[in-house]
Formats: sequence, C-alpha cells, structure tokens
Amino acid sequence: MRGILYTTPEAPVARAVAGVCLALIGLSVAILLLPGCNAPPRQVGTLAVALEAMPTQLDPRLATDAHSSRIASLLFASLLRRDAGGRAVAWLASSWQADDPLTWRFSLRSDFVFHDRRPVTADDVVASYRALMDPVLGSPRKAMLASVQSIEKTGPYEVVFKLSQPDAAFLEAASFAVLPSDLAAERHLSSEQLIGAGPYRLLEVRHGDRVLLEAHGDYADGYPPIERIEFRVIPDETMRALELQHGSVDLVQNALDPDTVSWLKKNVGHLEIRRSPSNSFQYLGLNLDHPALADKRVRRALAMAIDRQAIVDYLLAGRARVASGLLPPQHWAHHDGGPAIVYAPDQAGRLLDRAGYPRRGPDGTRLTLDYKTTTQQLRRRLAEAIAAQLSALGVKLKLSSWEWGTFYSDIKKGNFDSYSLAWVGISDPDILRNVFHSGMTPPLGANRGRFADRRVDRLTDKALLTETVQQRARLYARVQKRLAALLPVIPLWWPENVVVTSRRLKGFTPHPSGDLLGLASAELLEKPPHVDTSPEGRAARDPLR
Amino acid sequence: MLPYLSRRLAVLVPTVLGVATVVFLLTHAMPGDPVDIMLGEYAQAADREALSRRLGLDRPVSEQYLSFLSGLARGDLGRSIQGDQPVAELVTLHAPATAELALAALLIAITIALPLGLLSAWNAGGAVDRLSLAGSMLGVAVPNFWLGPMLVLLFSIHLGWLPVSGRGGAAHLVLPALTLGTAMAGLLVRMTRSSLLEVMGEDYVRTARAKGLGERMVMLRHVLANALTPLLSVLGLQLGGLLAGAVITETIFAWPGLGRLMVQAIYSRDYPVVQGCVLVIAVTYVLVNLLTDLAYAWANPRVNFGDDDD
Amino acid sequence: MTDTPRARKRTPLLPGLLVLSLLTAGALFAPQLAPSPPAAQSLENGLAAPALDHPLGRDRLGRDQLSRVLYGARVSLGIGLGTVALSLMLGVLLGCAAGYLGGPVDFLIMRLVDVLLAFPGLLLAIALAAVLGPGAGNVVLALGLTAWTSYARLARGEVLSLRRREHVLAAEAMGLGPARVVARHLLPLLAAPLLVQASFGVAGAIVAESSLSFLGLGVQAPSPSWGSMLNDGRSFLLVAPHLTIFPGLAILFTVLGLNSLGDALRDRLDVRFPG
Repeated sequence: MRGILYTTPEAPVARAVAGVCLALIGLSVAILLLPGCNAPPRQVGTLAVALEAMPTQLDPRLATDAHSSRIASLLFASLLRRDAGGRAVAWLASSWQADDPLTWRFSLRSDFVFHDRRPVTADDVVASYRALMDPVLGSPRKAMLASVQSIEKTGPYEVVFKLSQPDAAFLEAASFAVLPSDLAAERHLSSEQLIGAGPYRLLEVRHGDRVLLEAHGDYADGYPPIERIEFRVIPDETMRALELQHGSVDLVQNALDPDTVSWLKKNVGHLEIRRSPSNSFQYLGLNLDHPALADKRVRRALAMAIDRQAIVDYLLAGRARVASGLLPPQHWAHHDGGPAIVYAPDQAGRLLDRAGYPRRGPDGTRLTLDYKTTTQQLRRRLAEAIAAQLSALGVKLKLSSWEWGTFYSDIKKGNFDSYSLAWVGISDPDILRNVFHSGMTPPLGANRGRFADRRVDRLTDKALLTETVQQRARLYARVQKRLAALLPVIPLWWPENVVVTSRRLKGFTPHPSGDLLGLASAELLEKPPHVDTSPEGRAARDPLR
Repeated sequence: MLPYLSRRLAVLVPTVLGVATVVFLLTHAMPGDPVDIMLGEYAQAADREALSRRLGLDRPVSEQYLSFLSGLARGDLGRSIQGDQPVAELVTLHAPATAELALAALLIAITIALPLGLLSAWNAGGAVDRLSLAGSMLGVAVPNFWLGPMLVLLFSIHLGWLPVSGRGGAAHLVLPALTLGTAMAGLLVRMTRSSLLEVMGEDYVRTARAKGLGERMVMLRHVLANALTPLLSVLGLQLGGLLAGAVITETIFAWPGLGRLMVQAIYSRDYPVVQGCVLVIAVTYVLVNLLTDLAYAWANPRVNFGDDDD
Repeated sequence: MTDTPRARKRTPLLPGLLVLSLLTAGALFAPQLAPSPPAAQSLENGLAAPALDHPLGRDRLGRDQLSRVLYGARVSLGIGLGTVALSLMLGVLLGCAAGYLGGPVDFLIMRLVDVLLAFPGLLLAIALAAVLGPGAGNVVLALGLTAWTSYARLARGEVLSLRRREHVLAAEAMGLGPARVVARHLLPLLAAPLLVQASFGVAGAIVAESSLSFLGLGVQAPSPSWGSMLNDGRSFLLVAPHLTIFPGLAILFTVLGLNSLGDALRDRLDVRFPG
C-alpha cells in the first residue's frame, strides 16, 4: 500500500510551495529589471508619424524601400527635388543647365550646412556621386547613373556632370542624397554617421520600434517649426487607427483601410483628412504569352467588363480616380491616349464571341485565368470584386494570394496569367520604356507581361535621347496612344494620396509622391483649434468630399 | 544528477544542429530572392549580380550551408542582408522585448489560472467548475488579434488609462501581456484543475483525510503542493511557446520583439536574420525546459533521474 | 469514492454532442440552409448591419454573413478534422515505432520531436504557404506537420507503459511481428487517450487556422473559413463590428463544444492525463 509509505510527504510540500513563490517573485523582479526602455512621454512639439514597417536601411545610398525614403528626404538634401507636378526644382543647387546634351552644370547655394555645421560644398557633391557610381559600394542607385561618364568640381560651389550619351531622365539622379565627403564612400555608416543637410537630423534609431528626428537649427531654408518628428512602427492597421483616435499618433499616410478613414473622419473630431492626387497607378497586369491574352480583343473585353467606378466608389470610398490612361493626369507627360474604356459587359461578351471565346458548358465559362495577388487585405478584396465581375462575363478568375516574396518572384518570372499591382512614385515618363519596351523583360526591366511592339520600342528609345520637355511630351503622348489601343495592361485607377492627420498639424500639404518634406515647414499647435464638427462645417472645410 | 544534466546537455547538440539544418533548408527552399525583394524596381541586372556576389548569395547552397554552420560554431550569426547589421546585434536588440512580454504574460496567466483552477477542482463537476472551465475556453478561443484591439478600445480609448501600443514603461506592457496571458491562462486553468484532481485521488491524500485533517488543510498541505510540481514543467513548455507564439500579439501591439523580427525577415528573405532568430528561440526553448525539469526535480525529490528524458 | 466529500460528477456528454451535431448539420446542409450563395456579391450593400433579410449582416463585398458562416463551418470543421487526422496518423505511427522498437529508432524519432518542438511552427507554416500557396489543404499540412508531436509523445508513453503487459508478451512469444503486435494488441488500448486528445486537437486546429489567416496564410478566397472571415472583418473593427462577432462566436461555440466533449469522453473512458 503506497498510502502507508507516503503518509505525509511534507518536505516536497514545503519545497514546492517555496519554489512556486520564489518563481513568481523572480518573474516579477525579472520583468522590472529587464533593460528599461523608457519611452519618454511625448513632448509638445513632437509629431508622431506611424509607419507600417521598420525602414530596412536609413543609409540613403543603399536604401530602397518607401519608408526609408520618407525619412531620408527629411535628413538629406539633394541637388534638386520634385514639386507636386513632378517638375525638378532647386534645393542644394541654386541653378542648373545643360551646356550641351552631354554636359550638365549645377551651381550650389553656399548657405547649406550639414548637421555637424560643416558647409555643403562641391567636394561633398562630387564625393557622394562618385561613391554611388563605385561598384565597391554596391549602391542600387548606380544603374540610374549609368550614362554618367564623370563628375567634376569646377569651382567651390559648382559641379559638372559629363554624360556618355544624351539621357533625358538624367535629372532623376539629381535627387540623390548628398553626404559629407569624408563619409560618402564609407562602406558601413553607423546611425551617428548618417549626416545630411536636410531640415532634420537623426536623433535615435530603435530597431523595429521607432526613429526619432530633431530639427536642424541651421537648415538653410529656415528653422523647422516642429521640434521633433517621431516615426513609430505600427504594423497593424487597426492599431494605427486607434492610435490616431487616441491622439498619440498625428499622421498616417496611405496606410488605413478606406472605410476606416471615413469612420475616423465622421467620428473623431480632432482628426482631419487631407487628400491630394498621387503619383501612383493601379493596373491589372496580363501575361501576353497566354494564348487568349495575346489577342487584344480579349484584353479589351476584360477591360470593358470590370466596373472600375463601382469598385472605386464602394471599396476605395471614392478616394481614387478611374484611370483613363497610364501616367497620372497631373503628370507633365500625361496623355489619355484616346477615348476612355467604358463599362459595357454586353459589348465585352460580343467581343469575346468574335475572338473565339463563346460561352461553353453548363456554367457558360468562356475562359479560365489565374489571378495572383498578395496577402494584403484590400488587395484580396479588390481581387474578389474583379473576379465576381468577370465571372458575370463568363471569364473565371482563379484567385490565389501569395506572400510577397513568392508573388514578386513569380511576377518577374512571368509565372502568371494576370495580377494586379501599382506603379508607385512615378516621376520620369521613361518608366514607359522600362515597362513596355520589348527589350525590358525581367531581369533587365519591368516588362513582366512580355509585351512587344516595334513602335513603342522606337518611340520610347527616342524619347530618352530627346532633350526638351515639350518634344518628350509629344513622343510620350504617341506612346500612350499606342498603348491605349493595344492595352498590354488594363488601367484600373489612380489612387489618391490620403493623409489622416491631427488638427494640431497646420500648413502641411501632402506631396503626390508621398514625400514628407512638407513637414519641414509645417507647424504643430499645442491644442487643436476649435472646429465645427457639424456636417455642414465639415463640408465647408473639405471641398473634395 | 550530474550525469543526467550532462546527458540532457549532450542531447542539445543534435537538437540545435537539427533546428539549424531545418531552418536553413526551409528558408532557402522558399521562392523569392532577397536581392530582388531588396532592390525592387530600382536596379539593373548588373547591380543585382554585384550585390548577390557581395552577399555571398551566388555560391552553391551547399557551400552557403557549410559556411553558415562554421559561422555558427564560431558563434557568428552573420550579417543581415537587408539592414546590413550583424544578426547578433539585431537579436540582442529584440530579445529583451520578447522576454519582458513573455514573462509578464506568464505572470498574468499564473495569477488567473491558479485560483480558477483551484476553485474548479474544489467544486469539480459543480456549476462553478463548469463556469470557470467555459471561461477559460474563452481565453483559448478568442483570437489575440481580436482581443488586443478590443482591450485597447476599452482601456485606452474609452477609459484613457493605458497607452495604445508600442514598448515603453510598465503601462505599455499591461495590454499586450493581458492579451497574451489570457490565452495561456485558458490552458493553464485546465492543467491546474486536472493536476489537482489527480492528486486528490492519490492514496496519501485519502490517508490524510482519514487521519481527520480538515478539508482545507488537506487541500493546502497535500494536494496543492503536489499538484504544483507537475505544473512547473507545463509552464516551461508554455514559456517556450510564448517566444515564437507571441508574433501576433507583437504585431498587434507594435512590440519590437523577436517574433516580429523573424516574420519580417522571412518576408524579405533575410536568411541570416531568420536563422539567427530561430536558433535563439529554439535554444531558449530547450534551456527553459531543461531548467524547469531541474526545478521540478528539486521540488520533487522523488524524480528518478534514471528515467528516460522525454 | 465514498470517502471524497465532493464526489466528482462526470462532465455531461450531451451539451458537447449537441453543439457538434448542430455545427455538423449546419455544415452538411449549408446549401439548403443558406439564404443566398456565399459568394454572391453586392458592392452597394457592403457592410450592411444585421437586418431581417440578412440576419448576420453583410461583409464589405455585400455577401451574406449567415451563408458564409454556414459554409465556413464546412471549411473550418474540415480543417480541424483534416489536421487531426494527419497528425494522428503521423503521431501514432512514429510514437508507436519509437515506444515499441526503442533503441536508435526511438532516439531518432524523439530528436525529431525535439527539433520540431523547439522550432517555431509559424515559420514552417509561412514557408509552406510561400512554396505551395495558401489554401485549406496547405493549412492542414502546416498544422498537421507541427501538431503530430503531442500524439507521438502520448502514444510512445502509453506503449512504453503497456508493452510489458502479459498479453503483449504472449503475442510476441507467439512470433507476431512488431507491426501486428502494435496494431492488434497495443492500438486498441491507445484508442481512448488518443480520442480524447483528438477532440481537443480539432478545437486547437480551428483556432490555429484563424491565426494563420491573420498572417494571410489561411484558406483561399472566395471560400470562407471562420478564421479568414474573422480576419477579413478585422479591417472593420471600428466600422462594422458585426463582421468579427459572428464568426468569432462560431469559433467560440465550437471550441467550447469540442472541449466539453473531450472532458466527457475522458471521464467516461477513464483516461488519466491532463487535457
């Protein structure tokens, strides 16, 4: 009988109780002792911006992601930058000109200083560009400097770029960050070494958590009124909305569900929605190697069977414009390319009949296509809406959503029938060559649909070697006209740039590219101004909606 | 005890080697190229190749595997592909956040589960028992990605007591720990209850009762203490699970922990970071379990170290 | 147990069975019960609140939530059962082999279990989804490949404690091969604890599926699972809370039902292990 052997196991009792108590106390102490991470209470004068993900790199020479470039444009000044219409405007440079198609001369302002107070000179510009062109650094910017033969200092505040061939898109490269000459070529830059001449300097980086910037008092265009900008990584969309509602985040750009934005606008008095056109273009990509999609009638029929207006109105809360072309309407090279595609499912059906895809079988399926999308919620929802509309036409879309890495790799390999993505931050119209030139199939360029048309090839090649903006615009108009007729991709819509901000933020205008440089001249009030939250008051303030 | 310990530590080697191999194979089997993901639309073929070469990604996979293992042997986890930082540094930056969250969640889970489990066992089969069991299932069945925002709505937005998300002082810890802790408490209530009930059926407890000890005394002195020891090892398993299982809570609450670092790295095919995170998580898991087993043995001298070690 | 002052009452079997049969009926007769096809969209009625014609409201694409919850029962229960079937198969096979054969086989299998236990299961799920694409089948695969370890440990433990029993030794003496001994003389004894464990496993898999959905690794649109509905509704937590509440309740009831069934089975089959 075990019971007799074990009348009262007293020792284990006491030990177990003691053990558990000790463990609990230990746990509490351990928690208190863990490396303290004392987030300072947010001071007035600190603007909190929510980002979806940690910037992968703050080093402007190596960074490629959107979050990094948002922060980089506040830290680092460049020769030129882009205005809202996509035109180049002066920044570090006071003037620039092409002496001839192969020689570009930039004069620098003498009043710019780096965060460490050293003046920005021609030496810094030369060193920065030479580093980017040096294969040892391995900068992804190198490709855009392919046409640059040399860069020389011609005076303390003047530099000259020599090109090996005319390159109309060259000015794109004038927006690369300028670093101090002694740091520009360093292989690794620590966060203390990330020194620029922009309106803010880097104060602190906490990986996966936040990036803190502080106003650069000697900034040439004036002391930025907002003392600090804190970029906080908040991966979850609902939480970004709740942070805004709570008042602990002041700015979220294009990172909220459209319905949530409407809800915040209606229910949270201290928030304000700022909308502007964006440099983005959402499209439906097609694989022209697919026998059915090689037929332009099929492509046109698909385009006519998608009710883009309904999708924009209901799924995007109206915050996009149905695309009647490729380049966004405010872009200097924009051209509609012909009459817009209208929603006409019946006509689309007849077009498919003629193309040899009549309704077949019991469910009347004409054609079955794969449609790949990412795992992002809104993208999946859009895919489902498009699939439902096309199924009414008898075109069955087999949806599959893939994690980004796999998706992107498949798209590049041409391993798809159809997919949807967006061009983001369109600046030079040379993108049309990159996407539609027959020589630009991946990995050389972004012609993922394997589109090939001699006229488009010729025109885009020629436009790159053409100097004047007017001449280029004329050539690109012809390209866009041709593309509108052939429809290698189906234009969906031009999304708006939607920024939800606290009403405390004054004087900030969203930039079409999503750039946040405008924050350098904005102000942050201590309290939101009194606002009329009645529907009439709101309507008066917000003419767009 | 010493031979037992050395045997347990010896088994650690094949386990870690296995984990390292599995994570290496798995990450490299995933389609998608870190350089492509990193460069996006920017670069041209020549730059891509140059970058690949610089990162050593153009070498045969077997060679990469060997250099990964030899690095591991030297304690070198390599450099992040995307962020160009040493992996060890990234892991050290993120580990304290995860540890803090996991320990706090554990504390909350224990504080909820012990009294509830006790109450349940005491009233086994009764209404209180049913209610507490159903309540504990609530913790299991309600997903963290729903519970988190709901807690925020209540405590941060409506009551204004706590911050919404992010890592900071103690106030920042409350909601994520509660979110994570309740799910764990759900399981723990059941464990506590069944462990208590088992002990209550033991002979020595009956003997104690027969000796005329009061019911409360029996419960406290015999049942509770003896039931707590097996719970210890359960806690160890749970804590291990928390390290990786916290990914969702970390994502919701913008908590800069290891789980999120790992998932982010998987998405960008940052092989060295994924490997580093997984190894750290796995080794911690194994060590925590070893420690709880030792604690179990200390609290319960009857454990026979000659037993098999599973 | 007359000497225990509070005799343990057994967990009643009925509530669990009732919940489960209701759900199974809902899943089986979804086409008959659903007021509209689960994929029928109506963009202009998106996010409609519960009303008479759509008792659980509509989602963002205007689809009827009630129909989707009913069809979702098929997917979610299917994933739960599929996962348990797969992990049970793997677990019993490897667990019995380890426990019965012992020696190097046991060592290898248990190291595999160690590796899998220490390995973040999430990574496995993401990797599988990246290679195979998300979808119900791959969810089952990902969950099954991580969940089998607990069955293996259970089976191994039981086999170790049973294999010296007289009838097993007798069977061995009669010259029966290991496969036969295990199948004829050990498996029947294992059935009870495994069944109890499996009923908890189904619930666990249904909850785990919702976590995978959160990471975008759930079932493929447009087929609904409760987890994916819950996750889709998350974008509208502020705007339309009903989108998360109903699939959430469905999961909750299923988990409660399955657990109470598991408890009831355990009490009746006299299985002694913590659930």
